[in-house]
Amino acid sequence: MSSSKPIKFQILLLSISLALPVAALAAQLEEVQAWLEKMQRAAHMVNYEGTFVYGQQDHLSSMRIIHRVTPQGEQERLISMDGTGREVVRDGSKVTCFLPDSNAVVVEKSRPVKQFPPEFPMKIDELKDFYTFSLAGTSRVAGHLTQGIKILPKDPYRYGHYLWVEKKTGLLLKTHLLNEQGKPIEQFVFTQVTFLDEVPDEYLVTSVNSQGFTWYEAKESADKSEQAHPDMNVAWLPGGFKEDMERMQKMPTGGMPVKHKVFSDGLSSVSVFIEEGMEHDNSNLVGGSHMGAINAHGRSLGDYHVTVVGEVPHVTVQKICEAITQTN
Amino acid sequence: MTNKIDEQLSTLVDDELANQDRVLEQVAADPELRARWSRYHLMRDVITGHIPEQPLGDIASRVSQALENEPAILAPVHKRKRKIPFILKQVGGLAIAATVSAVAVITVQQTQEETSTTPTEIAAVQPQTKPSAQVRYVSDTTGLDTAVQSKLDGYLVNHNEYSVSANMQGLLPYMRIVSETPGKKVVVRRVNEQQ
Repeated sequence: MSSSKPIKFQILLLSISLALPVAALAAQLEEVQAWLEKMQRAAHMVNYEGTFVYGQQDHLSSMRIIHRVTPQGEQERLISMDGTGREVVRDGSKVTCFLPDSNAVVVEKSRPVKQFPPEFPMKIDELKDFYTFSLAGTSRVAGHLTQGIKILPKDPYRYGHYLWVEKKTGLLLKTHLLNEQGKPIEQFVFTQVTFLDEVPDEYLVTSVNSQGFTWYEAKESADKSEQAHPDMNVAWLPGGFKEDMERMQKMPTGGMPVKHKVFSDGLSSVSVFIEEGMEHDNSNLVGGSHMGAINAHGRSLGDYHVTVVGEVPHVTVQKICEAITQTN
Repeated sequence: MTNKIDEQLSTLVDDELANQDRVLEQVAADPELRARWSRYHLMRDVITGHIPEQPLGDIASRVSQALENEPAILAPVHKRKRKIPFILKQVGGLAIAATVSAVAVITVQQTQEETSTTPTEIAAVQPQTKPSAQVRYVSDTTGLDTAVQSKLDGYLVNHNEYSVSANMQGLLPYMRIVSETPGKKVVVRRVNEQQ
């Protein structure tokens, strides 16, 4: 009889020791979720101006950013501080790229904003099957105290993220996009950032003299051409990937209308572009290519050409590309 | 002499120099060497994949100088009119020397004019090519046909616009556009169609 007590006690101890890490893990997940929500809100809701360094692979560049929130929407100006001084000015959903190196201005409609402030798409509950989330300590970035957050994929089809989120405002001050080996392949870090109550209008006016530049404007094409495109079936996607969006798009630089589908797990996304193949068209990508952290893979499919692009490992775009079939 | 001190500096950065004190004294006495010293540190960090969390003092001051020299609205241009060489660009250039680098950007106008000058075998695209099971990649420095590159850039811009992680970070989609590299613009792996 005397032995039953210690056994019970041991069971009690065991269950406590098992329950504690689980509870701690759940608590941490909740904390990460709160930080990510704060971060996403800040990206769209905070007025700031700052300078940051952007690096991918072995190339570094430095840029200045000004971000303003108005009751009508967001305005943003991004200025390259090296090279020929490219600029991008965004006003609501209108994006204007000034490219002095090409003597060109490209005007695009950005993703239509359904609501303002925008909703926050990242749902940890849905993502935790595919990524591990953890807090990674506090440190300073550009003189501001930040909370580190690590998001690591559980399979080889996605990249990881290391985020440094400013503690007071939630603004993302530094990121690493991590490849399969956990090495950063794309990163940016603010070297200076100032949070502003008000942003004067002139901060958002481009300094590029675009006189004599050629203007290109993108148009979403009418639904007529949509019938011309057959349905494509994507037979393989990494776990958790769902179709996000589909549209017809004419590239601002001309060419055939392109069907554009976006698939996403809520954190990583992949675009599939389907274009009618023209004979002797040598502008299509066949095989793999990458542009910094973004991988692409293309192939012909009947009369069409399919190109898959995404900030995921190359194996992912390749597998998706090869799994696309024509359904009619 | 310069080469020797360069070498010593480099070794010092790697913590491998025996007579550190003498070199350190030299560095302390010479502003040019000090600048080089901080560049070497940044280069090492860049090469090992760590952009320093705290920019080195000297670089921070140069960035703010570059800011002042920009015809910008945020900081009125003070005394200096001379354009200061931008340190990050220099460092980038040095660090890149080992590997030919390239970044994707929007290239708008080159398509028609330049197609004929690019090596044609690279873009040997057959309209009905079957997906090759043996996709093989060659060196990153191989050039892509300009037309292919131009179209990919367009796709890239469109993808970025809808990319979730880019959206989460607010400014990332445009960062990829604004960033530019002199010379080659796209790093390419190409398919070997022979199999």
